Amino acid sequence: MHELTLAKNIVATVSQSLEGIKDVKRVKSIKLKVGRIHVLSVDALDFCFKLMSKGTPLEGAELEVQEVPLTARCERCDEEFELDGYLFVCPRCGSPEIKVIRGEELLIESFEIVKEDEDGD
Amino acid sequence: MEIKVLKKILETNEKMADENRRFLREKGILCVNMMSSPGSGKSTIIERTVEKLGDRFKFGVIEGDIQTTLDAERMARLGVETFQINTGPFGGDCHLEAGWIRAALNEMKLDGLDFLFIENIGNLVCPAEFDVGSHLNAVVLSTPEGEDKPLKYPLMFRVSHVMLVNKIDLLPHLDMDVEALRKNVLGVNPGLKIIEISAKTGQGIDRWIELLLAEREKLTGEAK
Repeated sequence: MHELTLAKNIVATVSQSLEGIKDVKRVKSIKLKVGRIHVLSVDALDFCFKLMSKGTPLEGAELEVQEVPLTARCERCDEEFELDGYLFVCPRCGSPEIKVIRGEELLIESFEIVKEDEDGD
Repeated sequence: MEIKVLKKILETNEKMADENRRFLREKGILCVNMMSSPGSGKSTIIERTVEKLGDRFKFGVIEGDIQTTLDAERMARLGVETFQINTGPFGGDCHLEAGWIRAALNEMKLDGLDFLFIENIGNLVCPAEFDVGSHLNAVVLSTPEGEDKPLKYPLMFRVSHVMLVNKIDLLPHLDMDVEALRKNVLGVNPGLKIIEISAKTGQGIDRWIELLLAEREKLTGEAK
């Protein structure tokens, strides 16, 4: 259940970013980018986020999780490809010397806020 | 109004892990993060390692468990500087984080230590996500667990530098296909070192010891 820790970190990071912004009523949504290597359970993350954000301006915010497929480039033949399963070899030349270029990230990309004078819907 | 952030979710942990790694390197201590499923033999491997090298080197162990101090008691018996982390009272976390390790390092007697083992919480999922500040990540997979594990838990085998295939003495009694395991795990991480061992009979332990000594030499060379 590392989703609980991730949720805690999301709440902490966004809360920190909110400190410099005036008149925030609440956070409406948070965009996340999650690489497929993390085999994250989005349902578990949602559940944990609801728990961790209670009583903060993040309460009720929607998590928008964009799952990023595992993509790599072959260092031998320069082929760029999406990984089939978790086999880290080039499908064109069979080389194991590949560099993962996407699919390992775990990022907070942005969040949307509603200000005190807005109704937000 | 949309606010761009673009921050790693685990940034705080990663920063602290880097600090731990630097701190330990400056002290000349090789930090080894031992990860595996429960019951694969992490504690026994550490015990064998200390028995082999204990007359020449000083060891420390940080034990991570949700409950109980049983493993720490085993280590303390060997005269090893031991620190127990029980995550149970703090939500029962299924992994250790860099902050826990920092707290342990503050409490431990580190002077003169050559090796620090972190015995992570038994679980092939969560510990892989959290850098603790180790110089070497070792995943232990025991033969009864089967050859498919690298495909089911790819991140664990991606973040590891070495895989110890433990309980190799049980092979005659199992359907485990070691060649298939090699193929699976190298598919996930082509650079992974693989050592077949039996912590019980001592088979293969010398290769593990060699690796540890070489890694420590590399580290202390770097520190100069």
